[in-house]
Amino acid sequence: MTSKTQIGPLALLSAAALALPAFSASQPTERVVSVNTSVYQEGDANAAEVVFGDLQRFRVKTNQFNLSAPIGRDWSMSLGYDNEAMSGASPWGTVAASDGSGDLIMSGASIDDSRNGVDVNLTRHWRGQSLGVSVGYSGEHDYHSRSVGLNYERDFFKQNTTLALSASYASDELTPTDAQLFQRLEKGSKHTRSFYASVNQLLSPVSMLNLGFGITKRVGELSDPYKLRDIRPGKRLERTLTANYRRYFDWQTSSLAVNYRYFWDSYSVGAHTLAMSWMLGEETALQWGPMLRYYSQSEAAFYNPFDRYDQPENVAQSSDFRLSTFGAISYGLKARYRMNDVQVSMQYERYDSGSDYALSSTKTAHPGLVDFDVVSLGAEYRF
Amino acid sequence: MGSPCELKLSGDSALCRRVAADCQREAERFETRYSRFTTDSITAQINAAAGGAVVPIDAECRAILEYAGVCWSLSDGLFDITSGVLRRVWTKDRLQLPAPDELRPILALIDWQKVELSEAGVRLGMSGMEIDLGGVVKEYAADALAQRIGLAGIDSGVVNLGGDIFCVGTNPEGLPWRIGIKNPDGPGAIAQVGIASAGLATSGGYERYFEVGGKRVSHLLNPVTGMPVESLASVSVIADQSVVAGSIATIALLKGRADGLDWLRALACDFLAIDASGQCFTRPGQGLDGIAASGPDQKFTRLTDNRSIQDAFQ
Repeated sequence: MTSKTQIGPLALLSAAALALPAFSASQPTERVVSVNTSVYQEGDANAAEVVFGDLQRFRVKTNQFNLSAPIGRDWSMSLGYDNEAMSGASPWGTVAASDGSGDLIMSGASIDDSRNGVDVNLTRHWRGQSLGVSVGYSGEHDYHSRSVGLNYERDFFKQNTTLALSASYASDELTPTDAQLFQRLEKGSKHTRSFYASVNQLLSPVSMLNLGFGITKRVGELSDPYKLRDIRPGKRLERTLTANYRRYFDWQTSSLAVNYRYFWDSYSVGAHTLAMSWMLGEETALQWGPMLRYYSQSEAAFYNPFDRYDQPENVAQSSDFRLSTFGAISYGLKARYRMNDVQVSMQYERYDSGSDYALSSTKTAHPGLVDFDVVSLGAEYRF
Repeated sequence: MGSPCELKLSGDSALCRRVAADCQREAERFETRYSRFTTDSITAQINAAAGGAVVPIDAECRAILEYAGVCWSLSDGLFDITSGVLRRVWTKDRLQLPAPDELRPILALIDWQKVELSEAGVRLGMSGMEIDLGGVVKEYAADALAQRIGLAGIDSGVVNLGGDIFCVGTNPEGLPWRIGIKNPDGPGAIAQVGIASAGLATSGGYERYFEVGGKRVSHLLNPVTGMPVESLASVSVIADQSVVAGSIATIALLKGRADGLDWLRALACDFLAIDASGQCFTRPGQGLDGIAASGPDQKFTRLTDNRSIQDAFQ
């Protein structure tokens, strides 16, 4: 046998070996089923600041199910389903009180709704890169949303650098309830296009930096049809910059994650988020740690502390507290316990918001700012 | 994995411990999934259904079987994962070599071509057939663990699963990892090899063997004759993947001394073969003992100080 004909076997064996899953991209080799249930409870509205309506604010119970699995050698899929049951009252509007502060008009406690969502993702994996496509649907009795998305990932420099790109489009349809009774919009639609790019860079064997930029354009009915006076521009362009840093420490085999996000949009809302979490016992069965997050937002250009009925309907205005100047501090605790293929987790988070927490000052604190608690429980099984 | 396993990682100790724990879990997964000794492994399920129903398999098991098929065709049928049934004849308590009559019914059960791989799964064509994926999985596991180590951000480490080795990057000093090659005819290391970012597998009759009537015979059995292969004493191969190195080494042994050396010499990879008389052979153009080639291509260095395998491992 000549050496020329014998170079073949090595090439053939290498090619066959490269088809083994460990060498092909990051295709999952395990099936993962996870379930998660959480309760989100907003604190009651302050009776002294409510002129009308129910004081008991939103409560949302969420159940989520997710399955991800490899298909054949080069593909993987994931399937997600979630259900939310919402109840409680939400602010309808804000009026000026005699002392110059704002008072809330709340809805009755009639809101009792549920939302169901499903999304499916299919991903093709190659060595060092993957391309996925996803479709999703989310529906409640007055709101239907359909979405499609594409996501691409590629490793560079011996997998020390990962580039991720994603684009999505969503088409939503609104059919507010009791539209004729309350002279609400009867039917509306909105379209959302998003693009996100991020680079993940391994800085050292124990630290990692992720930088991202995202842009989202919303067009259509962006006003809240359930508020008494809410007129928002029909186009909103949002941009986000993110920086996430993660580092492992020898002490208590722990890891620290620091995340920063800057958001600014064409409504002239600007927001900073700084979050830190600490996880102890990364190598042990029980992992736990605290988290702390600070959020500060400056108000939209058309934000009004009180609804202005003297303004014409073609002039934008909103008294939605989510468009006001405010800040928030969240803190919580999370824990995971792993037993072979099963992992159970629980998390608690407390969120306190207030206009005096904001970096910029505002004259009128919004009475609708919420405080809430979230408790969630989850389980995951790998097989 | 039925033999001593070792993991060396260099870097932040917290990360190393976390990755080591992850590697141990993954190694245990390979063990429980492919061991032929447990009843719930996929290997046991496929063997139990021999001659009967198709057993569904996942992408990993399918890729391993397909890889074994490539080895079978490249070795002209010598590398055959169905040859494990020969163990029924070659038991540890044997006092004499088996007679042809004893071997014939067993040899009838050895045929890779009767392993029916289909979309639905795999089926062994004859009742009594068995597959043993041990000759592929151990090496593949070394590669898979090395892959995990690299993905976790560790660029210096060694995975050693019973002699199937993958060296991740270089040693902490930035030099190739020095690995000792066991002397097939005695204790200690016979040679040392420098490896960076590559797999090394050693196959030989010295670590696992049958003793028949006091005579040590290789555990490597020819699937056609059913008899131990009188071959090279030890073959070590370096390749980009440990699994490829392992297959090349095993095929070399199964081919016998002369054909095995021809096979190794014709391949574009580094090897060290040692015959029964202790003579060493390396890739053409590469000398041993640092005389013929002392440059960076020099892979294997002969050791004459009879140092232990551990001392030869730096």
